[in-house]
Amino acid sequence: MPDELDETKMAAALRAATEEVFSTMLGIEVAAGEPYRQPSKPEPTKGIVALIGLTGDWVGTGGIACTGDFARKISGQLLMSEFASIDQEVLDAMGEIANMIVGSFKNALEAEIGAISMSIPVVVFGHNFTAASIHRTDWLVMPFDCGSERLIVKACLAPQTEHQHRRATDLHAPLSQVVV
Amino acid sequence: MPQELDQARMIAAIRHATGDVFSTMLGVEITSGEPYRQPCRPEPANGVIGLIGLTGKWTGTGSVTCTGDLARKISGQFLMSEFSSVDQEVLDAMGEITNMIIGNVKNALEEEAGPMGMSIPMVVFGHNFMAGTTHSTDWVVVPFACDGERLEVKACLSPQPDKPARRRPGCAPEG
Repeated sequence: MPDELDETKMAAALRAATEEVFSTMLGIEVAAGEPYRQPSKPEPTKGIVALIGLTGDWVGTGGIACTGDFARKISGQLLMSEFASIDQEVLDAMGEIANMIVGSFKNALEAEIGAISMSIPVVVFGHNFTAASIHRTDWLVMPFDCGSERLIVKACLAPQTEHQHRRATDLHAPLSQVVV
Repeated sequence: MPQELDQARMIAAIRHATGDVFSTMLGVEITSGEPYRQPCRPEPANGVIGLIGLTGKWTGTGSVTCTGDLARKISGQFLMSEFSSVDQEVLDAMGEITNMIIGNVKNALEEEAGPMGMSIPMVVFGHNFMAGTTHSTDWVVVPFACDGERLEVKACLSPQPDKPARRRPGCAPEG
């Protein structure tokens, strides 16, 4: 089993999944930018982040991030409504949009890495917070432009290791010190 | 298949897992409080939240929440160090502590719920933000008192539908 997935294939899957969801479900055109890698260390951010855990022989995280204004707009398109503020419905809609994009992305990769299950989306909104997934693999980030707004779609996946299922009593070192 | 796991078993699993990790890995005494249920929607939050997705025939989320001050203290115990602020090491440590606690909860519940996978921990830190999952089941929350601070460990699980529904344009949202 390879240690990392082919980056070109991952980028193509993120792009196709996002474009499909935006054109089919939201009726919004987005323009894909250049994909790039980003260390998985926590960084302060603002706006809305929706993250979904991926589990199987490979584990990781997929997610989307954008400003609150753009979240209101695309949630309005999804629910055929208008939102003056970031409320419960907007957060639910963003979780659902993340679910569709990451679900389509993981479907595209399953032929290569086997079945992957998705967790329930986690959604965070604020003006100064840090949201991070604790792993050692870089994110693969695919930016999309939509007018003056930007949507970030990103994912990271690495082969499953035993540490995922260790019990506390089996632990003698933090995960960061475990040699995989 | 029942729509909810036995709540008393979930509470016992959370108490046991949290007590085990705090006594074995952190050497910190904690006192369990009265458990309660809480809707799973995103809520205003402060401090540090560690979250882990659970997948299998039952899907859901496990979470550990505390103030930034308590996160610094227990991360210091875990890494045998001192932290003057909530930095990357603290967030990593909170992710690992969440991983251990929720891993033990999952192990305890697998007899009833079947094998479950765990996602990589996600950690959120900030002030006055909204965070949560978009799950239709209530959280089962177990609060703990720790060094004058409050720590919450919670989990929600519901049966995975055989075929997840795909939304069509114009359909009303689920739930």
